[in-house]
Amino acid sequence: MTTDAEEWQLVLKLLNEQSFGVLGTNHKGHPYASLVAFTVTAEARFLYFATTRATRKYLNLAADGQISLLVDNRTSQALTLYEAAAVTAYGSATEVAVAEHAEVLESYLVRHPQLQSFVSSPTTAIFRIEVESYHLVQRFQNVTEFRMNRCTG
Amino acid sequence: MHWLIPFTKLSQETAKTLGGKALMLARLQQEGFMVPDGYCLPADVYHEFLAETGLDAFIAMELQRKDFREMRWEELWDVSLRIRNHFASRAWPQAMKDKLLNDLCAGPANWPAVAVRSTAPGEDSASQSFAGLHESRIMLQGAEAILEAIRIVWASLWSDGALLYRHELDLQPGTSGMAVIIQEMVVGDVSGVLFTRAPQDSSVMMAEAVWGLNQALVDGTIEPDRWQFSRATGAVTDKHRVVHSLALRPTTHGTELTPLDKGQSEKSPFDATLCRQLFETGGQLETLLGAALDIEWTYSDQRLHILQVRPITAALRSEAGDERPWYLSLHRSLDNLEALRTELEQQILPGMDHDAEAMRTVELAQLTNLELAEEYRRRSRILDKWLSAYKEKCIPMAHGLRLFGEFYNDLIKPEDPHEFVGLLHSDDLLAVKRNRQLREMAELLRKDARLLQQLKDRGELPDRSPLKLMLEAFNREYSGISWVVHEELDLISWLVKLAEQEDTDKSQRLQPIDKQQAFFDQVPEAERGMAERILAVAKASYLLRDNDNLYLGKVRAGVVGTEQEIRKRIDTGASAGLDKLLPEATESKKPFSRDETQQEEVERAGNWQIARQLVGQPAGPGVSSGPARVLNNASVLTDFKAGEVLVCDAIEPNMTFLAPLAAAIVERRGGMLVHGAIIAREYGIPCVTGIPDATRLIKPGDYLTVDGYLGIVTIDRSDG
Repeated sequence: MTTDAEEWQLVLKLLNEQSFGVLGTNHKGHPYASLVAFTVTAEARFLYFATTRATRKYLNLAADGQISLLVDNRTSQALTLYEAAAVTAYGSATEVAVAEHAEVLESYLVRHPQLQSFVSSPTTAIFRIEVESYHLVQRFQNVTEFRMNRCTG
Repeated sequence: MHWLIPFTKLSQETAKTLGGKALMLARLQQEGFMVPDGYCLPADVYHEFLAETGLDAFIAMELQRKDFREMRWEELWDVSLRIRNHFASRAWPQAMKDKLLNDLCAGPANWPAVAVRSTAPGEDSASQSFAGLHESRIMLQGAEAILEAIRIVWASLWSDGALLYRHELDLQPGTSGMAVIIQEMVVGDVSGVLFTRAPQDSSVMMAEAVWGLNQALVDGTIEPDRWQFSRATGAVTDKHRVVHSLALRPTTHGTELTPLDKGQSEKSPFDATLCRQLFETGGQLETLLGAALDIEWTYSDQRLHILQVRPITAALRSEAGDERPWYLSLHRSLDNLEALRTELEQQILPGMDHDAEAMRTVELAQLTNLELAEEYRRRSRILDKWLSAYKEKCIPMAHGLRLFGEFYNDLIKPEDPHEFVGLLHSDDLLAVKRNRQLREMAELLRKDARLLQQLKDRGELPDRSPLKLMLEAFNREYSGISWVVHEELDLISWLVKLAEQEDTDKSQRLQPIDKQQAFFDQVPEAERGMAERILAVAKASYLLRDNDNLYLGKVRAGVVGTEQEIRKRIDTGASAGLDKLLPEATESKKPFSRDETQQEEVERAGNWQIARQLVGQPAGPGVSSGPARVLNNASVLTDFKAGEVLVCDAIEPNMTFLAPLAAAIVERRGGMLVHGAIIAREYGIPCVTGIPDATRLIKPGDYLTVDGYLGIVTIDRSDG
């Protein structure tokens, strides 16, 4: 049986094993999707990603911080459809102050060492997503919600 | 390059794509043993068929839909049936068909009749010992019939039995494959099995024999003669004789049980020549293969032909607590099921009814404590007896549905592999009859506003009123509406509730007769008689599957009655000698109750994790929404309100009276043929079964949308 604990472990596994996710932002009422390299904190309360300030997503986030981030393990093989799992994080994104960059980047670069020069650029912004809930979809249609504000840890 | 490889050219190098069974037969033939000639179709062709038709993705979908650890045996059968249907309904890719027809017409299609058997590559000798997991087809004539049979044998790589033993067989979608043996059919006068070392006494050989073909022996339809021979001399050391009346014989459309003539029925199938050949061949084979063997054989024109040889291994023995051999034993032949039906209809169910009726005549209140204790023990013993008959006789009868399902699907090749269930609907389903009577009583009450008000005010029903008489008859017939719960359900308040709402007769107006005609129109003339028998068994199976629970429920009601009387005396302090009876009894006699510890898990999980959408099996088409009524042991069934979604561990006989009021049914127990699914289909209610932990994940009052087409339950919780 898939227990509650196993489902939460699957969320953590996706967040820790996948490097990229699809970020959904709001562009004047229209959803805008973009691929970001992210990292996650130990308890999965926060996610971090980086973007240059000239991007559409940066402008969207400046106007509206409400976001969703889809992380999944899909392949294009029909044989593995039921093995695919996806988790969508809902929350709000705020830009991390430059003074805090060094601390955040320490773990971010462990995950994405190739992005060293990208995140070091003065034109790059780091965002922190405070997650309100995760929605896990597995075995094609099973959906479970995890509410982070009710999580006792 | 030909696909079909003759036995004479099979070698160890081809083992990877041919399977051990084919290699064994080829080797024995090459060593000079009498083995019916044959060809092997390697597993590469299976893989090519899957790739060409896209079936590999469908199989993977079916196998990964739900965690196997959470599947009951019935769900495995459903998975297996769906896969089988995918195989049967896929057209052969033209190039493959042309190539195979070419090979068949140059070889096996010219034999008078052939057998098509499985030979799964990758099976080690231990897994070969799991006999009967894969299908065989015998007495086939012509290339087209062989082509059909090949797909069925391929599909049986994923049979329910194989899925049960998936770990032992290392079954993996994507990599597992199936090769096929196409063999000349030898129609034996006598057939049987030989164990070169008897299971109980390894100093002797043991052989079983029946007249005709040995399928009837293997599936247990015909009891064999069982003889033993000394391993040293071949002398017969023991003869177990039975009276033979039937033999499985070939017909123009397969096989049929036919009566034996008087000469044969009085004789043993064994004769001196056969015994000598069995002894000699068994010894030679054992020497050649270096192991004790289980040999299937047939005997024609005084010559012994080897059909299959397997080493006798430890794998044949199951470990304690392993119920898989029992599940496998539920596969029954048509003849076996017909005999079972007679026994159920003429002995088992009337027996349950008789015992339940006898219990009803005992005035429990008049008994002394000692007598009550004895009565309670006596009734418990009776219940145990019928529970065991239920397991041994009633559950196997359900295989009638499966037998018909496979027959129907092979013939009609429907898009929906469970379409056949539509032909089985019956007005005689006891649960439906019982609900109809409840509805009639409610209707009577609805028309009599004064009486309705009187009953709402807790007044008594006037003696000799039509409703009172109907109620008495109802109670006699069905022992009330509920048997398993501990609270006595108040039938009158339930009728008041029914009377106060709109009449909701949702029972289906299905037209099984029309569907049957459409089915029979497609059955070839030669198979009409067989089709009629299979449908009759399936209809009986459908009916008995639900009714047997109600009969068993009546017996259980007798036990519950004594429990209630004992509890009453305990409550009033008049229970000397009764105190220790009940605890063990209360728990042990609730056969379908769910694990109480689950409630603790609910509390532990808190509300930070919430199921939003759950996937089960679509068991009753339609879509409907409503608030959830989650039933557990503490539920009061009569609290159920019309328009609610019934969420339960398993629909039990005591709950079916709720079905006509339910917007939809959601059940933890999985399968297309479970009681919840049957009753939902009768009422045209959307139903989803097989949702693990349904009663834990869904909370009372959650607003549910039940999609009975796709098997999806979506949860909308008011606080979220």
